[in-house]
Amino acid sequence: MDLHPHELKLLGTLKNFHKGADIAALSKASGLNPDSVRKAALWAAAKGLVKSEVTETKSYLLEEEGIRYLKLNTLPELIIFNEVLKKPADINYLKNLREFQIGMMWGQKKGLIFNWGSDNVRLAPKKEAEQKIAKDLEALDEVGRGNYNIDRAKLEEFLRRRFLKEKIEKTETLSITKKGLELADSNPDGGIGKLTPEIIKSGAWKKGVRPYDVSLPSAKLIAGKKHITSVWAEKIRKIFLDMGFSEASGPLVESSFWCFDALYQPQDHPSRELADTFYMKKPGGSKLPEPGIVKAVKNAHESGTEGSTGWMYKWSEDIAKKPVLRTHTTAVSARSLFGLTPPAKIFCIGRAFRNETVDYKHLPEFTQVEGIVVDENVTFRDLLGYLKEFYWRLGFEKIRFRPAYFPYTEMSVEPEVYFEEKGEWVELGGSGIFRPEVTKPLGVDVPVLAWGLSLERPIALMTGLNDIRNFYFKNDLKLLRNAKVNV
Amino acid sequence: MAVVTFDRKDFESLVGKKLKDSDYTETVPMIGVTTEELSSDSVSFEVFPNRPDMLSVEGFARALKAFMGDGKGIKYSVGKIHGTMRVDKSVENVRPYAVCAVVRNVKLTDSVLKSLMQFQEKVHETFGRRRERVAIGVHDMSKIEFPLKYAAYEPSKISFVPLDSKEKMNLSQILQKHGKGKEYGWVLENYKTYPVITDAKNDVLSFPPIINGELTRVTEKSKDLFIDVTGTSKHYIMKTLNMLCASLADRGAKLEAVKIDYTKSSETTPDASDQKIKVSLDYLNGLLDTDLKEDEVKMMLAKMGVLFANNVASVPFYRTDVMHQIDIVEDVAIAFGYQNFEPRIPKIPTMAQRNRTQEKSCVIKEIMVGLGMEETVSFVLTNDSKQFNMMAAPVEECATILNPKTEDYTACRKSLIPSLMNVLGDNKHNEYPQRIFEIGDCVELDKSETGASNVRKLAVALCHADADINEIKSVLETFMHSYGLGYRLKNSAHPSLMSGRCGEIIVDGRKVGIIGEINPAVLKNWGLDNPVAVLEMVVE
Repeated sequence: MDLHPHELKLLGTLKNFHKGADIAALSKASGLNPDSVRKAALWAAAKGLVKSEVTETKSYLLEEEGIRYLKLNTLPELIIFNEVLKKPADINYLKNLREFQIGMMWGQKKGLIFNWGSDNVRLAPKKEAEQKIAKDLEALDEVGRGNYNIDRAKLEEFLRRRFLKEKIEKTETLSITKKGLELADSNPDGGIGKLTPEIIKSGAWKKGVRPYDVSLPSAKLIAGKKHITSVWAEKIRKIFLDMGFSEASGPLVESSFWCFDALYQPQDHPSRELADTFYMKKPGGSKLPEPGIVKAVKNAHESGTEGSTGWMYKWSEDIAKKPVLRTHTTAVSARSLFGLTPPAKIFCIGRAFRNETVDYKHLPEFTQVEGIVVDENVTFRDLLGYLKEFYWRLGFEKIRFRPAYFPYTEMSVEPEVYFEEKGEWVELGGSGIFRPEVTKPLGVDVPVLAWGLSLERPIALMTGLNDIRNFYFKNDLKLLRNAKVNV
Repeated sequence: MAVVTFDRKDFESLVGKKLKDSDYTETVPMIGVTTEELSSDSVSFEVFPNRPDMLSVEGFARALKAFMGDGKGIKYSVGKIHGTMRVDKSVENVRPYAVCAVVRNVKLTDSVLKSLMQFQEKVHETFGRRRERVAIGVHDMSKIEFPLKYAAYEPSKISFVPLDSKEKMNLSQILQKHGKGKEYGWVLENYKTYPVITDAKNDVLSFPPIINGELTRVTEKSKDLFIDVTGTSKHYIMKTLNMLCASLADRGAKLEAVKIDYTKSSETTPDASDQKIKVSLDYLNGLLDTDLKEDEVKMMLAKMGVLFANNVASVPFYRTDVMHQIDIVEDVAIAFGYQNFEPRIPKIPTMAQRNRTQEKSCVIKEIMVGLGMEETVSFVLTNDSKQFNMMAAPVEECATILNPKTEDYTACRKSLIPSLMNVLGDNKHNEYPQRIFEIGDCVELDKSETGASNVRKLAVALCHADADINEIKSVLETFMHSYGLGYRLKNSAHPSLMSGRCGEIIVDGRKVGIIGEINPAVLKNWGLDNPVAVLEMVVE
């Protein structure tokens, strides 16, 4: 018979407990943890080596109400009895007493008060009533001290009146069967379980080693492991690198100029509002880049680049100087575009910030993925081509495109991928061709294709971890240890 | 993004035909609008901010009607000048621009009134930037006597009965007491005088952008309307007036003009003439990779309600989103159908270049994982309490947030160690040992362009019953050896670390990090019972 080492250990330990023992005692005696004892017992019981017996023990505990009357050394029925005894009884006062209802009920039941509510009210003799109640209290006190050997009917009464509560405890007693005993005796040390240098050198292993049931479950190791978001970020990084994109980065604390103005987002645009964007107290202000580009961006906003009307408002340098926590990595793309010589393909994976209150769908921080393609010959079809290729490499086989709107792209496209498991199309990211009002001031005269998405969204879709707080907010090691990283 | 809800029957009668559910779920998204909710009585759409003209049921129906093939296009015209409004110099500094229109013979049924109100509300919220940029006032014409005057007054000098009120109030009282005054008073916060529109009898029509007068209230009985739109940008108020006029004209009303007299100039509004924009077919075909001829473009633009002839697009006066010929190209692409473009990958010869910091981070992660460390990823955002107080460290200068929404996130982290302590504190119920690391950006104030720079750091924390300086030193030693970096350690002191169990990591004579055992007082702050040994260093 193949036995797990824990089973052998359990049998060896149980041998010494003639009357059997509970899990705690066996854990202590064997050095196995209680869980292992429980598991080993389960396996051994299935093989008929160990017998498990569950016994229930009942006990009674005093409840608040019981304690209260023990302290008062009386019961409601006696309190009411004494009140009725007073002549003349004050009926209104009586009815307002906390104990009235209950005391009257039990008083009548126990034969202390007769004919209540009629003209012919009668009471038991005072002494008899007092003795009766004293006896009851004595019984209650006994139970409180752990002696349950009282009149069964009294016990029921106390339970019903919530003076006591019943507590049932289950204990599992394990004992060794005859078959188990034989096995334990025939195999006192369990045979050679583990090869040691000594056993290998001495040749003792030739007497045979204990067989091992490989189908039994094994303990998990705590392994060195990358974070699930890292794994996905690296996957996406590789996709971009494989497609010939170069990697860019930029500051987390960004000027409004690069985060918004250079992207042709008008200065009164709602996404620039305090409710959506983290503005910095420190640093207090950013420097603007060289005057040439500042002037070009200002003109684009106020009166448009060549062939454009612009947003037609007065652009303010002060607003552009306000530092923010970047709301998107498109700020990095804008910086990359400035002074760039085409052709170029650039990507960025980085943290972005939104002034949001935290819930399962929103975090104040997320990771954004963004790619741009800069070349004189690229067209709208190429944008769709890159999207299709990129999402295919990410694991989404079917994609479709919908018109969308972003202030800095035209055409703007919302890619939707087909999510097999749910059988539905889901929106995943945004994309478009940068407007001429964005690229011209940056000195780029050719089309720029751009797309971006949050890193968390595909992870949530692919892993089913819908509560995105799980990723950073919690860093629950159990969840991270179990996370699949073969993506 | 704004969600609008229309009465389905009214909507379909404006479109001119009965629509199937599939028209809503298949066709409508192809114009770039999502159908949010659909029932037999009503329909809700999510409208992108570039098409405020589609916030009205009439405008939406107009766009869909054209898109579904009724490409005749509607011509709008404006009749004679009905009257004059003088814009006084006093409004120049507070709310400089106003435009007006007179709309005759409006049949104000319940559904028209409702859609008019919804449109006003949505435009105010989005395009109107919560009434700061644009505010609309609609009035019953029969109560108004021309000429009108738009001027600014001291708040106590002028009073009238505002809408939904019974008593006369002056302008300050309205801001203090009236619901709308409280809601939109912020627009006038920094001004000493407030703008008001009055008529020939000196009756107050409107106190923009707050509230109209009760006198000119619009009811189902109103036949002729007077519309004022005021704001900070002439372009946007003009466009808003245009959208409103087009909607009412679609309902069969007649438009009449109002002459606006500024001190030095004058103009007549509304102006229903098209916006002309030159479109090069080469540019269009080049960008879309199509081979469209003029008449094909003409056909497609008709679907978008735009006329096209001789390389000039005539954009109707209610459209607000056309700034450049690229916007016309987009209209063509939408009419062509995004699904009809065949995706293609061009051959663009570029060589991928990896970012050095990112590349280093990847290498370090590999080594750390090999050492059995578990990676965690935390927020850059933190607060003084977590970053300094709970670490028993003095509060240092760091990048801070001006407008935090919660106490939790008020600053950017300078160190990764508090992030790791936070993770350990949150994971007390999970199995030990916990050997974790993080590699990520911290933020340091400096003299750079934005005033703060990212600093990439690595930190390791070991937490279990036997964690100590020896073990963390071994981690450092093995890591530095694999990474190929010479270093030395020097005994030092740090407020978060136990004295006598703490050192500086020195590379090339420069301090790059710290190593040591966390002070038990700090452990207590994070609710930890096990010892924690840490290291942190800059990765550059």
